Amino acid sequence: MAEQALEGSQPVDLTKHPSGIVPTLQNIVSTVNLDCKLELKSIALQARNAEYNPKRFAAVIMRIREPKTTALIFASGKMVCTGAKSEQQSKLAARKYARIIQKLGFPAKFKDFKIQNIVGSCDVKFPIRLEGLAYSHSAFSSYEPELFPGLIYRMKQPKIVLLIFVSGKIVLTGAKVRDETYTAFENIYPVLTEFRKNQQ
Amino acid sequence: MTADEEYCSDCKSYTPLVYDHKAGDSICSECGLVLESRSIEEEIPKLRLYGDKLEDDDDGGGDHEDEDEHQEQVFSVSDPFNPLLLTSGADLTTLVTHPSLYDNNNSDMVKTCKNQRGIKNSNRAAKRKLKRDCDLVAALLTMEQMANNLGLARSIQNHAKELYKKAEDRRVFRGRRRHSRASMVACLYLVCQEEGFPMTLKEIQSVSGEAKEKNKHINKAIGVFKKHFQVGRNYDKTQALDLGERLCTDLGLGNHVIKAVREVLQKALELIERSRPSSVMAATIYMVDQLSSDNMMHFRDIKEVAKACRLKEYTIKKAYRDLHALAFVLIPSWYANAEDIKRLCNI
Repeated sequence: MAEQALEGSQPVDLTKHPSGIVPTLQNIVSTVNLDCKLELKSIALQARNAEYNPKRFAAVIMRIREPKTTALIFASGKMVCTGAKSEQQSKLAARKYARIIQKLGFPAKFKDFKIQNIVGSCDVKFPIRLEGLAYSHSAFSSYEPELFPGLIYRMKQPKIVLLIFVSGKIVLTGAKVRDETYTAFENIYPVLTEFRKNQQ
Repeated sequence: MTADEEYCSDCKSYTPLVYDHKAGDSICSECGLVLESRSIEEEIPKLRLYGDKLEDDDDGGGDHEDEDEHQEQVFSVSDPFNPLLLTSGADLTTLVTHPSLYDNNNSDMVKTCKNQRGIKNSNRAAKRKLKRDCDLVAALLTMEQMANNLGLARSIQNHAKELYKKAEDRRVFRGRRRHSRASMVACLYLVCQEEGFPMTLKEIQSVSGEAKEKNKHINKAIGVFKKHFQVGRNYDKTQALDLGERLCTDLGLGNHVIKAVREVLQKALELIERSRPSSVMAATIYMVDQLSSDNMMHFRDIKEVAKACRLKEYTIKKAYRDLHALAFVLIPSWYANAEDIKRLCNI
């Protein structure tokens, strides 16, 4: 199991990840305050990597290739950066967007940068009996296969939401720091092994 | 206070009494003994009653005996309070209530709500409250109509209305989500689940009116109801089995077919993971029904099954392909032999 769960080329630290599986971060959402009022129309006209449709959404949607991210820039000077795969990438991307705004002639600063959400995913490589899991952890679980094929598990500590699928694929969302994601997975792993489906 | 003479057992003589109307007590004026307590005073001021006869006699003549007789008629009027109630400190008020939300004659109330501009001398808050009440009544009527179309029992209807009213009282739905069809569908879905009469969302959606609600909105509404009221049960296979049984009955399938469907469905839900239970159920019914007919020629068309289960044909076909691959494992030997299973149609 431990050999399979290599993230990149790094061996897994079993003291930190007893399950031998490390959730891979898929998306980071962060916010920053540019601390100046912005003229969205002029940004949209001057920048070629930007789109602005005020009837549809009241923000400029800007994209950069490296790190591959998308930003929502609001007239108030607040900005949301999404799509980065790590915290450092998210911060770097946010700085790049701030620099673009500066170059367009606005006195943009870089205030109150904060990671708002971290999304991770992993695969336990065995099928899970979602029905049994939903029944025994009914206080935390919501399973409606008619609406959504996954089980929604709302963990209390750390406050993370997990989407658990029959195939053994797990999505973890709602973390502010990556350690919360790792802790949540280590907490849920014994439960998943308990409800492992016997393949016929 | 009024005075009158009565025998006092303490003074051993007739003494003047004092009546306390408020307390209903008769008190001896000399020794202060309460001779009678909490009695309702009968010595009430006599008021002259003017009858019709006197008014009719305009000519001054007529029968004076009648007039004298009429003058002797008196009408007793009690004091403007009830001494028994006042001593106990009861505070009587008059309460005018709205018609019950569960009445069938609520359409009048809905109509009056539409004429809100006609309400004069009422403040904004009262108008807002009235509008909220009217919206709730309209929503409950819509839900009742949906439940009737689904043929749900009165107990389920009342439970659903109660839950919806609780949600409205707690203001769990705000903005555009208030009184949306999605919240009504979610409410009925969860109550049906809880009452042991599971229905598919598609069934409830089919009677929810003109707009087909997005699953996303229904899912959110279900989440809200579960979070605030711990209503509904988590999905378990018995729900799918009960549902399958009901749909078989709707399609007019025999008892042995229903038994086979139940058995096949139980195994199928274990083995086929990625399909929705309702689509697996529809495909199971279609497959088992094929084997039920003697020469395997006069079974129900997939369109008929799709209509009964309220699913798209494509969805059933997709699930059927998965079932067909496992047909030998799924279908019990008492129901069909290997030859029949081989002859199952391939979609």
